[in-house]
Amino acid sequence: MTEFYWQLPTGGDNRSGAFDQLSRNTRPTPNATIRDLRRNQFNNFDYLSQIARAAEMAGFDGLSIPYDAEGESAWIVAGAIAREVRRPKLVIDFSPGLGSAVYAAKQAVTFQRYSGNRLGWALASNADGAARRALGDFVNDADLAARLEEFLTVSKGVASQADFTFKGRFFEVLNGGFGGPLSGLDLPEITLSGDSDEALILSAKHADVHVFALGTYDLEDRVATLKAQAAEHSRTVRIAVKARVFTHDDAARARLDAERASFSEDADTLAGDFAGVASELARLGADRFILFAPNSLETAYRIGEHVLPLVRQSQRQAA
Amino acid sequence: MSSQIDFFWRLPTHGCSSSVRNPDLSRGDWVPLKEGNQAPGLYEGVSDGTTYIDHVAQIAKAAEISGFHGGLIPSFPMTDDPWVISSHLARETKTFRFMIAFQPGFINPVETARLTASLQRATGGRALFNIITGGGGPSQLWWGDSFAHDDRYGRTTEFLDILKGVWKDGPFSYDGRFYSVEGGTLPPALAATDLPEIYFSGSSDAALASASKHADFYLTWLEPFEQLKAKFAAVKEKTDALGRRIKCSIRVDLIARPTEEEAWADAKAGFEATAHKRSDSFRQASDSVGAARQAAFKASDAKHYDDLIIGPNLWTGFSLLRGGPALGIVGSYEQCAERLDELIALGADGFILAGTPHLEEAYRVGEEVLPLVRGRQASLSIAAE
Ligand SMILES: Cc1cc2nc3c(=O)[nH]c(=O)nc-3n(C[C@H](O)[C@H](O)[C@H](O)COP(=O)(O)O)c2cc1C
Repeated sequence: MTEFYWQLPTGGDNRSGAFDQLSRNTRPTPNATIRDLRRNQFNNFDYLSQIARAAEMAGFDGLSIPYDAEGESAWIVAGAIAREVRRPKLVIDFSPGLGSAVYAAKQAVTFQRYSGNRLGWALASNADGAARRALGDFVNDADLAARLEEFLTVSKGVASQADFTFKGRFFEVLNGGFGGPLSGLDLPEITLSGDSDEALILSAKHADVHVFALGTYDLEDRVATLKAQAAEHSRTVRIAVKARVFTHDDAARARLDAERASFSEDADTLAGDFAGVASELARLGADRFILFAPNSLETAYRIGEHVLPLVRQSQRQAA
Repeated sequence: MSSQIDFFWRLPTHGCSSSVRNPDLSRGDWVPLKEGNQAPGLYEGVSDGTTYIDHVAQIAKAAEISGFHGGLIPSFPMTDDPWVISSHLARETKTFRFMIAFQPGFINPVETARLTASLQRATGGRALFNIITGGGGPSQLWWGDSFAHDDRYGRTTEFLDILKGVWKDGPFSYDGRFYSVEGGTLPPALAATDLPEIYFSGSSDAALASASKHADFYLTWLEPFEQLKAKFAAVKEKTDALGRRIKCSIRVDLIARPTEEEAWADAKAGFEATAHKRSDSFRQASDSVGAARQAAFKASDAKHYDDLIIGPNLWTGFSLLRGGPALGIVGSYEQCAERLDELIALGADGFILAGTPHLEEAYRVGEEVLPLVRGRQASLSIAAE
C-alpha cells in the first residue's frame, strides 16, 4: 500500500505567524472593541500539534518534520507531539554533522522506547558550505558522504551491538553499545534524498527510503537507476515523492489557490480537483508521498477526506 | 539577589524502586516484566502498553504540584535521554522546569541553542541545564569522547560562549580550540526566548574556572558541611572577581519520616536488603574530583548501616541503595528541615532533592518537609547562636 506522510510547517505557514505574534505580544489586539484573552497563551507549537492531530485523524501514515533554518528544531517538535499523536510515524530531518553519533543514537533509542518505534531520520547536511559554517559545521563538501556513512556505521553499531568499537575520521567510540532495555530496538528508518549520481549511490547502500521532489528532471530514469543500484547491493529502497498540493472539488478553484499563494508555476506543485490529484498520485506510483501545503491544517483534512479514500479504494480494487 | 530558596526534585532516568527498604527496581523496564511492575505493567498476561515515560510523567506532575520548580534529569550510559524526556512532557506539565543534564561535547553549541530555544517555546520557558563535563574513564570513551579532564572543561567554556553568543548576539562568529562558527544565528522567534538558566556541576579547579564565567547556579553533591562551606565561598569569590553573581545549590537524597526512628529503620532495611550484592557505584575508574570525594566515604566496606553515620542525620550509605553519591540526610521531617536550614546558613541558595520512590516521596517531601524550612530566617538565628 502506498503510504501518505504529511509535512509539518516547522518554519511556520500562513497561520503560525499570527500565533507567534500573539505569544510575543508584538501586535496590538486585532480589534480593540473585542475582549481578547489569548495573549501569551499560544505559539506555533500549539498550531503544529493541531496539524499533527489533523493528519493523524485524516488518515496519514506519518508526519515529516523538516529542518527549516527559520523554524523550530525538528527533534523538539517530534518529542512535543509524540504523546498527542499515537499512530503516525515521525520522520525528522537531521544533520549527521552537528554532534556525536553515539549521542544521536541514544536520543533515538529513548524516542523509540517511548513512541513504539515510530521515529525516522531524514539525514542531510546543508549543501551550502557557508550555511554549514553558520551551524558550526566546517566539513568540506567532498567529505559529506564519508561523514554520513560513518554516522550510520556508528549510530547503528552502538544501537545494535554490545562492545562496539570504531575509530574513524569523524566519529569514534570504544567498547560502546547500549544494554538492557536500550538494546534491541528498531533503528530509525533512514531517509536520504537528492538526485545527483552520488546521492543515488549513497542511497543504494544505506537508505530505507529515498525522496525525490515532484518535478525532478527525468524522475522515472532516476528511480530506475536507484533501484538497479540498490539491487546490486541486494537491497531495496522505497521511493518517496514530495509535493506541494492544492486541491478542491472544483479544479479551477484549486488552481486559483495555487496562484494566490504564488506556487502555481513551481515544479513541485500539484493542483487539481480531488479525482485529478488522486489519479496523478496513482500515475506517479511512489511507495510513499510526502505532501505539504501553505494552508497546512485545511489541506491535511481535504486530502484525508477526499483524496486518500479515492487512492486507497482504487488500490484495493486493483489488489 | 532574592533570598528565597529554589527547590527542585529529580526525575529518575533508569528506573525506580517502589521502596527504599527494598531497592530492587520495579518501575520501568530495566527489570523483566512481571505482575505488579509499573510502566510497562502486565495486564491479563500481556504488556499494558505503557512505557517508562508514562511513569516519569507521573513523577513530574507530582513534583510540580507539590511545590518543586522542576526536576534534574540525569544522563548516563544506561539511562534514557533528557532531551527526549523533556520534549515528551513539555505539553502535559504546567510549571515543571526541565533541568537537562548535558555534556557540551555531545551536540555542537549552535544546534544546542536551536534545540533549547525550541524547547523554551514548547514549554513556555521551562528549560534549563545542568552542565556536566563527564567523569572520564571508560564511560567517557563509551560516549565516543576521548578528551582529557581539563580539556573537557575548556570545551565546556567555549560551548557556553557560543551558545549564548548565537542566541543573544547573532550573527555570531567564534574561532576556538574546540568549536568554530561563522555568522551563527537563531530565527527571531527562537532568539526572543530567554536563555536557559545554567546549573553547573564539577568540583575540580578547572570546573570552578568554567562555572564562574558562565553558571547561574553552582551545583554540588552534599559533602561534609565545613567542606561545602569552603567550596561555596571559593566559588562565590571566584565569580565575584569576574563581576558576576552565582548561587549555590545542593543535590541531595533524603529519607524523611514522621520520626527519626522510622527513618533510620528504613535506611537500615535498605542497607541490609542490598548486602548480598554490595557494589558502590562511585568506585569506578573516573577522573572526577567530585566522585572521588564521594568514593572516599568507602560505603561498600561497612558491616553495619550505622558505621556510615558521620554526623547528625548524615549517612553515607546512599550509594549502596542506588547509583549516585554516598552522602544524604536521614531523619524526621523536622530534622530534615533543620539540616537544610543549616546548609542554607552556610551558603546554599537551592536544592535538588530526591527520595525513593520518587513519585510518592515528591509528595511527602513537598507536603511534610518543605513547609518546615525556614530558610534565611533560620540563618539569622543560627548565625546568632
Ligand atoms: C549534582 C551533579 C550531577 C551530576 N550529574 C551527572 C549526570 O547526569 N551525568 C554524568 O555523566 N555526570 C554527572 N555528574 C558528574 C559530572 O559529569 C562530572 O563527572 C563531575 O562533576 C566531574 O567533575 P570534577 O572532576 O570537576 O568533579 C554530576 C555531578 C554532580 C555534582
